[in-house]
Amino acid sequence: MPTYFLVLDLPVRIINQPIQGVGFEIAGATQQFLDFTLSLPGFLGGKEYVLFEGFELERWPYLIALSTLFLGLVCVNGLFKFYINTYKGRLGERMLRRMRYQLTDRVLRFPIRHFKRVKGSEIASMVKDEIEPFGEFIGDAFVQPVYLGGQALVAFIFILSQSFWLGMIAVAIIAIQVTLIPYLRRRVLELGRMRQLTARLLSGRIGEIVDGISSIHVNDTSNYERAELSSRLSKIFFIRYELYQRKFFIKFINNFLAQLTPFLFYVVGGYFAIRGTLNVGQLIGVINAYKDLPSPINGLIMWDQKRVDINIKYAQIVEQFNVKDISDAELQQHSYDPVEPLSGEITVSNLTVIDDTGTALVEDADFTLGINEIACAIGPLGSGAGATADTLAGLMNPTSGRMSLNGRQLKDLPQRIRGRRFSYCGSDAYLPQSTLLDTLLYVNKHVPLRETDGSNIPEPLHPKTQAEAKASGNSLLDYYSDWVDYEAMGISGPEEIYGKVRDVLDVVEMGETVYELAMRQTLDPKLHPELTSKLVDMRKVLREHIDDSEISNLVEVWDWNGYNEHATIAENLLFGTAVETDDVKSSQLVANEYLRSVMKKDGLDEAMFEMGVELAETAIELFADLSPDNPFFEQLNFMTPEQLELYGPIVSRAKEKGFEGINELDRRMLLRLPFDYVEPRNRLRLLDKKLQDRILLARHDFHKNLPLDMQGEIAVYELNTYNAYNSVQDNILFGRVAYGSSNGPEKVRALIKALLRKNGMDDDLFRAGLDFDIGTGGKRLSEAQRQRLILARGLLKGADLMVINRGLNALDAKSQEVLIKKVLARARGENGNKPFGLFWVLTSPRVAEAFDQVFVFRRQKLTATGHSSILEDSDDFYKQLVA
Amino acid sequence: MSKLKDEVDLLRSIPMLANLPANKLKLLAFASDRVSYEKGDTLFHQGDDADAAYIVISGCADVLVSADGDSEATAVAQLGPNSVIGDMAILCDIPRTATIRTCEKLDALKIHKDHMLDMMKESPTLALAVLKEIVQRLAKTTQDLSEAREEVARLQTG
Repeated sequence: MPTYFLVLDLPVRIINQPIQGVGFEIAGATQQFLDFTLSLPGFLGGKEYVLFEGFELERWPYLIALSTLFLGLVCVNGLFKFYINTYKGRLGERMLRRMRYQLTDRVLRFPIRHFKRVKGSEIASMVKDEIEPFGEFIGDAFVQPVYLGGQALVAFIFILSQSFWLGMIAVAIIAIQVTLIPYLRRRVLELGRMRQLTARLLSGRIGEIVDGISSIHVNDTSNYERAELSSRLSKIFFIRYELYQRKFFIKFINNFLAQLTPFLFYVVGGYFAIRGTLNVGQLIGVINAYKDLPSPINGLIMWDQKRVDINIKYAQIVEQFNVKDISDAELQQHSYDPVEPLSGEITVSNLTVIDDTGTALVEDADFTLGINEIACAIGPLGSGAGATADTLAGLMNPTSGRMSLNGRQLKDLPQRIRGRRFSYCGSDAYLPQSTLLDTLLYVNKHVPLRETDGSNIPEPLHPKTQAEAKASGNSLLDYYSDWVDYEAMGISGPEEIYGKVRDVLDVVEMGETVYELAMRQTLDPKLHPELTSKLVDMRKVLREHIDDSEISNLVEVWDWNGYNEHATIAENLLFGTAVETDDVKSSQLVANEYLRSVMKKDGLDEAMFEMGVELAETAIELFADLSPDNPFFEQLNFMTPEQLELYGPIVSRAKEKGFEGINELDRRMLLRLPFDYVEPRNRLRLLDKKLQDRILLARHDFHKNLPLDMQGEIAVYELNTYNAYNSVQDNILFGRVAYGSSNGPEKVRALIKALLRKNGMDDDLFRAGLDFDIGTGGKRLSEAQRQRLILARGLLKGADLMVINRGLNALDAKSQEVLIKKVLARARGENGNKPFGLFWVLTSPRVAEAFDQVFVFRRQKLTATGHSSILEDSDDFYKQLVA
Repeated sequence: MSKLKDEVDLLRSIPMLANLPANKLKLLAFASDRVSYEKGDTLFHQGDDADAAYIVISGCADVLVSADGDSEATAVAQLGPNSVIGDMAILCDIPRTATIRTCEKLDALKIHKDHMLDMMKESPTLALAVLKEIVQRLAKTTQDLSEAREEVARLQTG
């Protein structure tokens, strides 16, 4: 503040003293510079103490000294601002981090039923975008009023000290601003809130479109969605447009008032100056000071508006995250203490669950369930069996009645007991994107148990990571540690994990799937040097094997000197796979100058062109009158339905002008057709031995002088190198399975599998398969596979009670029965496994006889309990269900 | 153009398809897969889902039926070149009613279910021809059944 005052004051002294010559009336006169005198007030004697006499300077050096001082003060002022802004930024970012963390923390504690009402994308938009302004504001919240207020005050005092009346003019104008602007802004704030709401709804809607894309496609409602989107955007547009109009109107008023004051200063100040009551230096000083006055005043007004705006937004968000029945943070508190296995019985009395629409899901259920009991529940959908299972698992809370375990209410159990000693498999199998292995191990990650050796940290962490997390009140648990609780799974460490995982995957019959996935994986030799080199060895073993077996005619291996009939012409020509799909795809191949020059050498391009014309003609003849969605188009491998129309005119031009005369674009269109041609598949007899030989020649030619920049783009088929862009299976096979041989692919797969097993590659491939990325929501797996996976990880957890709510309903009845029997054998502790309890809501009641206890549900009521053999005789509804 | 000629000729020799226009036959041939089987291979099993029909180009196959699907199957017929296999099952979603096993090396044209159904939608002539074929088979089955019944009655009384 003092520096700011001096910055304002100095120009006055510079102009008045050295420039206009006040105090330098006589030649050789000097002035004190940097003198510092402390004067006592009159009642203390009015004495003056000279603390520092300063330097005596003549007029010219005095000017330089004052100007340099001015520059120095400007620097100090600027640095001060820089320092404040940096700290403001850090404060804002910390606050933002804290808020995002806390909001998400609350989401994690929302009661499950609340998620029926909120849209994920709306929450995401609130957590991510809507709180952004808070972070920007929080720094200003305290700094701005102090800083700007101080600045305004100083400027104002300065003006007053120079001229009282000019100061009064400034006061009057500011008074107008301070009353008028907030009044005008009220509507702006209201609009701002509307903008926030509509934007949030928009992101919710877009989320819905993405999630519901399949129903949009099957119902042809895309245009309805477009119209809806358009009307929504229009609403947003008009809100924003009005917002702009008002904002800029206010800006206009503000600017006008700000400019009005100097006008008055010029007139009034000029009048005083002419009359001599005010000197020119003072007037310039006042005008200078005033130039600085509106911006802090404006800033203050803006600050206040922003404060109100933020208040509204904050209230909005708080309201959204203030949910009734949010679970106590204590229940989710992490703990390193081992959780003892549960025992005893769950006693359920008068259990009633009513959902938020008032519909009863279960009514007055009374039963006891031993933790180690093997029980099932049967009943039609909506009969209450599923709701009971969900309540047992803690996904719903009882509306009335009690569920207690050894006298303790189930709903008061901390999540660390519930989440570790219970496992749950529902039918809606949503899985976040991750690898297969991580998906399985996810259920056993409760606290960081083993410190990381650093190999899984993608980039070095900032040295202040922990300190900053603390400063923002974030979780201090280390994400990069090994969280997996191996002991809970009954093993001692990560080295035994594969055996354990294989064991549970075999129970759910996914072992085979993992193997298949491994075969479809592409592996980077840099990341898996050992495995890929072993696979290359396998390739050679397989080759020997194929040669003297019955399937020798099923596979055509890559041979540098032979044409592979079962591969496309492009593959034969390149003798490799395109690395980046873009540049070397067949549609782009024809544009590649080097390749074209090779093809031109012996006229291969013309031969291919003729072939292209024939292909186009055949396609037009056969497909022209079919609608684009006709299933026949799947068989047309060299053209899309959309392209078909384009080819009509191209073919007639080609016939008229020939290869040389046609324009380059048409030529390329025709040349690219044969690239995807495979004789045994397309059977158009376009590829004879002679043409094959010419392609071979071109292949050799192509690789002989391959330009440097293309060498990285083609992964060549070499017997001793692993091809990183082909699947594991293609790499082992090193060739193509012949078209037209029945069950060829199956036979080849079986042979490869037997060979890999014989050579002890099983484990390696199993591991490679577990690295498979399951895609967003696990969508790269089928629903049945997802359900099997969820069951598998439920088993992996090592829980005491497993609750399964129609967890396998995507499987057919027969497979379900097989899996149920296998899981039952586990639960009973066969083969030395740890026994556990089951509460299984069955999709097919016929298996009920395999359980020790059966709960029969009908119309939201528990109607019968007992062993199936008893129910068989006594309960008609049971008989009806299992019939 | 002589491309696909063999296949087109083969399709034309099937009574059911004989009246289809040339370009449709060619399309069907183009879209079909030519598959070959070794002696003793199985085209499909009784109870499988039906996804395609087959037209035998060369070779022969046994039709095996077992009473409940699990027990030992007995050969009820043998099919040679130009015979159509599994056409009924692809018209409606019923499982395969018999197992087909080759008795020597067999070449066939495999017509996918979607393609056949689509062809029928496009061509009333084909639909009618298929209908005629089915009715004929039904008539034959009915006759066989009544003969069999008479046989049973005769054996019971006699």
